[in-house]
Amino acid sequence: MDKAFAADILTQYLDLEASIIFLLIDSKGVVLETNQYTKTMTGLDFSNQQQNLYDVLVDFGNLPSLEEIKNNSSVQMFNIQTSDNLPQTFYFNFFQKDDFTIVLGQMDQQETDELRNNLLQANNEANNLTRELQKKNAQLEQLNAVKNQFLGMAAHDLRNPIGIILRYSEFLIDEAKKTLTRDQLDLLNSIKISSNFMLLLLNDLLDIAKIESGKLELKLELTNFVEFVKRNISLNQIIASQKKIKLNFQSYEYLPQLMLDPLKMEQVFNNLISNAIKYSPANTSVLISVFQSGDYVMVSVKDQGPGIPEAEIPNLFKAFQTTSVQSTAGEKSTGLGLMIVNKIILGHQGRIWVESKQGEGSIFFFSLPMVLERTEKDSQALRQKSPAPKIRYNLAKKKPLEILLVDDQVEHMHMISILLNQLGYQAQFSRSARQALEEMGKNTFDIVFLDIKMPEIDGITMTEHLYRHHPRNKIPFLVAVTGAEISKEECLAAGFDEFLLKPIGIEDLQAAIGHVNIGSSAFTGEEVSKDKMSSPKPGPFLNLEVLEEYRKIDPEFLTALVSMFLEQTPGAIEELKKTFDENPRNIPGLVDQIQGACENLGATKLVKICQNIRESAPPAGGSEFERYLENLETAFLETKQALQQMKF
Amino acid sequence: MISTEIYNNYLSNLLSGNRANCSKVVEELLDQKIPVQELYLELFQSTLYEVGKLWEKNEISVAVEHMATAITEGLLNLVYPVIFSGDRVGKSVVIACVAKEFHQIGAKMIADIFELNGWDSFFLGANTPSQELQKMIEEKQPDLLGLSMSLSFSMPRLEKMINEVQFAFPQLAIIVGGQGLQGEGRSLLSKYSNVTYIDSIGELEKTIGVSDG
Repeated sequence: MDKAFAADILTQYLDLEASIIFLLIDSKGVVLETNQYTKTMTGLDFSNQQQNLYDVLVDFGNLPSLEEIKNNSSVQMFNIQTSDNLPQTFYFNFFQKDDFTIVLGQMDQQETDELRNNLLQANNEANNLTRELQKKNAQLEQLNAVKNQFLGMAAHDLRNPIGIILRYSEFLIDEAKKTLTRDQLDLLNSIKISSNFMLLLLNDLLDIAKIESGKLELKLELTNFVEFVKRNISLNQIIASQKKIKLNFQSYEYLPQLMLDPLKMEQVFNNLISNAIKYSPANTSVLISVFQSGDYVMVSVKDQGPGIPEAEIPNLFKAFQTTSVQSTAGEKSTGLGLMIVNKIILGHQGRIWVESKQGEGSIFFFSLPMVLERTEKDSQALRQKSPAPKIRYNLAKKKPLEILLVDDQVEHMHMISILLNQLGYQAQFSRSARQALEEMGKNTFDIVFLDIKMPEIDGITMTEHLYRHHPRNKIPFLVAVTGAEISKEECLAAGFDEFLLKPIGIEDLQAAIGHVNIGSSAFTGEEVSKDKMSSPKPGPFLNLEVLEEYRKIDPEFLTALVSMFLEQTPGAIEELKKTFDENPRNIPGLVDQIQGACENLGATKLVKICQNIRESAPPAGGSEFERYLENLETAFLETKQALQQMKF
Repeated sequence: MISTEIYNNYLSNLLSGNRANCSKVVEELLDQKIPVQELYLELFQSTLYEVGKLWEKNEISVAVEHMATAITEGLLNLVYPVIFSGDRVGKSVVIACVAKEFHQIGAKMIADIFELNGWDSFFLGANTPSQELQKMIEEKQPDLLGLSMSLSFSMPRLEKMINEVQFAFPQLAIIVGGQGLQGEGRSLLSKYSNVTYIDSIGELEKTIGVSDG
């Protein structure tokens, strides 16, 4: 092979294929020629001789001069700039002739191989460690679940005995205080206080066990947030007033309703407000603010307490992290409250934080999104709920009323009273039915909010007493207030005009007040004899003439007729329901029977409904018939109530 | 069943070193609740076998083969939350590669299959020195030892390991497997009692079932 040919091939290979840096530079270092590899590696434009050797090399400020480089015949190590900004080390030889120098550089293959092997090994080890970590994570999660299960079981099983100790210590203090010495009473009080605290702790532990095991199930409800906050503030009024601390509230009134879990959120408010009270000195105030910020509703609880040391703030929402700050009246803390609060807020997709300076008090903030991500069921509930009525804060001016609250639980009465105050009303209180009856004998009331569950005489008995001794038009508008121990129907049947379920909101009160006819009632203790029945208000349900006719001829027969009607009609309606499902052809006969009984008694509304059923030809379809049945049932209850009002 | 389209998409990304795209494919399959065995056999194992064949045919460099393996190893991490979350059966296995062997991914996948079947697996990785292996067996007291051999010329080292382990832990059942035992090496194992050759993941699951039952 001739040498010129071989030289050509080599030049061509060097130019296009070889992974070697090639530069031809002049005496000033200007690059005159280069190969493809150098262009690709550096990403530089070598056309028009615009690059210098020093543009190619990475300069850390210690590069030798061009002369030194060219005159050094040994292999020199330099880094070159690359297009991907990862400098590469090359080993260079410089071949000088006249004013030109050929620069050739190559990587150390052995070094590259070692690097690759080390990287592969490092990658393997990192992946093996990740595997081990993931496995340990899974094991920790399983252990944590077992821990939570244990915590939950222990807390749950301990609650009963602790509860018994608490109740018995209370019982002993009440029953045996006269026979016990002061020291013995102190011991019993210590038992009571400690067991009460243990019960609190166990409740918190149970909460945490539930939350930690992912069982924080939120029952989201569309809630009027401002009213909700006000209610929660009023619940803390009593403990605040015991320490002479004022609870102030300010809010942006036009907040939309929020989807939240009222019970869980009540826990949040109770915790934050009671904490604020706990760490505040007497004669200070706590300010609770609610305002809108972007898509979030913000709540802040600001106290005038001693503030929290900066170092303790990061741990505040962790378990058992009580602060070094002392409560002002020796109140105890489980160290779990804020952790639970944090979890509940997170569950509502909100965030909680605190700003505090020692000596200047603390402000706890939390945010709740205006629209929580909802399930389809929640969305339906949202669509079905009617918009909240506007609260009329000057209602008392337009509709002045004398109001009596009857409840053995002072804090509950206090709460309703605060809500009534917001509507402009001042209510009077009675702590028992007996006291209320005395009060009603002395003063005139337009509306009475009557707790159902009271010791000695309950709300139902008191209502029955009122109806037995007074004409309907002298009995105030009666509102049953109940904690779900009795149904609305039972309350209405007993003679109540309205039914409210605890906890009661301001809208509930406003709605109840809206139904009161001013001046239609009120008695002043004047007893009215049973047979007077001067002006009963049977409404559109009964034909009084028919009843009066019976009464004149044979009062006993009338009583028997009424009891038969009251006893048999519900069964007949029930029978009608079954007949529709099983044998619709018998419907007319049954309706006729019911209609006949109603006509005998002058139960006009029921008669009308029976006629409607008979006239709907051909026999009414499923949904229409169901509506008739519903009407029939409602009209029966109304008729029954009217009859009871007439003392049957 | 992994579709040809998903398979080809994954393979081309694996060969071009596009880790992010490979990761996306696996994440999507996991979102669709693909059974882990299916993912391992039909995607990870099949593509790595194909990469090996391409290398043998000189269609890809050894660097590409290493890169594909490294990417696959990283992707196994995505599967671990699924693998480790199952109920445990109270049995454990130590899995190791023969000394001086650097191909660990097959053995690791086997360790994962054990996990999926409720076993606790302790994976020692590539190039496990015999002493370290014995220390691990002493510490974990496993029900089973798994040894992986990827290259046929590692047979003497595998036999040495078996002898040493059986001397120290005569009762310990051993399973062996790997590409290195596809040829003649397998027959040399017949002389060992309590050593079982496993040639596939399917057979492994059957064996675990037998051990378990």
